[in-house]
Amino acid sequence: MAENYNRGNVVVNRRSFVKGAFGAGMLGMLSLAGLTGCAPKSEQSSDIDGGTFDIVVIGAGGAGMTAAISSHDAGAKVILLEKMSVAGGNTVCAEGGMNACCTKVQAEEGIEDSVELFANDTFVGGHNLGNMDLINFMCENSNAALERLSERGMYLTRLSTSGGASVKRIHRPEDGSAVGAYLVRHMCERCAERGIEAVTQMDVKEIVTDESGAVAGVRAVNLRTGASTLFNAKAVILAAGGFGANHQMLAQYRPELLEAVTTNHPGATGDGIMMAEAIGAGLVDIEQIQVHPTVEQSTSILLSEGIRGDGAILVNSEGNRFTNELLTRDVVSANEWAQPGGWAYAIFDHEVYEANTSIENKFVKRDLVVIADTLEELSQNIEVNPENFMAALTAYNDAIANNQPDPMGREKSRYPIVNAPFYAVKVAPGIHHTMGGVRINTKAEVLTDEGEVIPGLYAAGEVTGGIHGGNRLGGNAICDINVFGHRAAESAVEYVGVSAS
Amino acid sequence: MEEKTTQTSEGAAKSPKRKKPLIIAVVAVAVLVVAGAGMWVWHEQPSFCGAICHTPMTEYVATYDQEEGQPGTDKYGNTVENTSGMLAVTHKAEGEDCLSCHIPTLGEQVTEGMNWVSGNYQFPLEERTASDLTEARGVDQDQFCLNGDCHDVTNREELLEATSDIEFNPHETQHGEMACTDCHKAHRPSVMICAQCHDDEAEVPEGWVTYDESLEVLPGNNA
Repeated sequence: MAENYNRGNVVVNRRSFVKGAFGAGMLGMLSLAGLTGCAPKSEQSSDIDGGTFDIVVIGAGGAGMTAAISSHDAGAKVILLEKMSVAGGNTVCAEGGMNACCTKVQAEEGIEDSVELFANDTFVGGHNLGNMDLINFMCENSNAALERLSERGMYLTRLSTSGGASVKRIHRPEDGSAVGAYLVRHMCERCAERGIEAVTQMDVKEIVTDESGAVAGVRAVNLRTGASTLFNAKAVILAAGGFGANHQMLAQYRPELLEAVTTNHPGATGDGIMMAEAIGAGLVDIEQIQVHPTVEQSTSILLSEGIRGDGAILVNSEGNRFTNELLTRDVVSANEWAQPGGWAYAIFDHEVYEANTSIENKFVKRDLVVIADTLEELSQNIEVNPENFMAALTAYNDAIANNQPDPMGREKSRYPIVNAPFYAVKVAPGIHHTMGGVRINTKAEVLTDEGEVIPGLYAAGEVTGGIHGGNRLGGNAICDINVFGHRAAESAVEYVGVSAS
Repeated sequence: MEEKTTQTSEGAAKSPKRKKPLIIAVVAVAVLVVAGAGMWVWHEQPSFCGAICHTPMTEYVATYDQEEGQPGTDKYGNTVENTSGMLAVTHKAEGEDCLSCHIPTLGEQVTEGMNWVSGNYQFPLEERTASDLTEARGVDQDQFCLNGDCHDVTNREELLEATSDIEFNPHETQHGEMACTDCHKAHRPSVMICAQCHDDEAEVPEGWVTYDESLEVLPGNNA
């Protein structure tokens, strides 16, 4: 993200007396001029000129960086503005993977998937609320987005199961690492390699429009200096994320969430939604807020859905299972809230541990995992009723061994919990994703409530609404940012009329 | 200079009346040279920077004129609990002065001087980043700190290794490469940016502030 300057200026050797005397003479003259001349200009009250670009991208999460890279590669002069001190957004917190259908990886594993099945899962998982045009566009372009990631050096080649998916569809990094950190690290490098201008701590406050209502740029506060800065551009791609860390805004729609923990990064405060609304953008499904069922409460760290997909089960404080763990997030969260205390233990074995490096990196390091060599010992260490616990585990394991239906109706990812040591992490629901946001069409153009295009404004990622309806499936956010981040770039590039050289 | 001296002695023999302007010229040259020399010595002193060209730099010099490990003030006039988070103070303790970091180039000085005369010298108090401070010299911004001369590291890999004993090694770039000056500040407390999210892992060193605390001190910042 760093910029390099290579202007070839002569360096003064400050030990050279001759040059020094000349310099001093110059300085002396200037000091006289200074004493009698003008005071230095102070423009604190007006804008600093941030420059003129084809496209300004607001937000350096996955959607924003995808948009910046694609815009740049299409020949546009682009700048990426991020209010936080580092790139990553909520993307960097993403644990699981990317849903995509009809991929090479699926084909290699003999998984039969289709755009229709993927779209239907997304629509049904989202409580039949999503915009079918947007959903179809995302699903149709999911494989292309996965291929584009490969072209850019990001390989999601490990297939797994995620909640609400009819088939194995979630693509994860081969080494089992969390998808978000993996993508962000690589996307940052790809931006830097291309020399894409990127500025952190540049907090965009306003999308500037001209008399006709078309986008003309953005006004931002430089958080290093407090100075207001104006960036001129014909097109703006809004990729500023959701509002999962803005409890006041969340509570407007879900008052019970005012005190809930959030898995979101602290910058997810909905600025982008408010900025777009201020210039007439329509909002959709804004009240749809996803609560994730497996969040460690003292740290707000997410225990990935992929860990349940790899075989973890949930038991309550009495040691009993209470749900099919692979139902959609909203249902599992509701089932968990219904338990005594409203929390649960995620139980898994060493095989799951080995497949997910985040368990070691995020939970073991912080001492948030209870580990035991036997299941009996584990039940004692987590202080749940050992009889209930052993009965639940035995029933789960035996049903798999005997090819019987799962007692809780779990149909997928039924892997016996038998490989010592065994692990338990205490979890409860936490705020995770805001499905609603700015209204867009399949060109990622931002629309007014009346459905009119705001010229020059495009949006992608969690700042938008309409794709995930009332509940986002695990793996669909990473798909969303890659498909629509690129789509927004394509549309913006077409709008500003640049062509790749 | 030698030529002038010769002329002077010749002139003195021919006509005493013509001596006066020559003496004045000699004195003027001598004064200029002495003044230039004095200026040269003075201009390396912190007092010079704040007195002559950079009128609004008083606050910067004030941060430099503090002792390590004490309560003090930053360049904005805010109270600082411990000055050890400000590199101006810690570098001074190591015997460095303004010009150790603010290495001038002639072109840069002339440009700034012209801007000063024309009234276009903007935002004297706006924070300078590593790239601002190395731009005129034409070197990479990393060389501002990682130059082997100031610190015993010359690149990012060596830097990462140098701090590898810290459990949460802040120099590991998970979110893309950052400039040194994003965290390490000279005239205000340095900022532990990692702790904005990794608050349970990243330790805030003595005299440093958290990112949120760092925002509170900025002039005109409504964040």
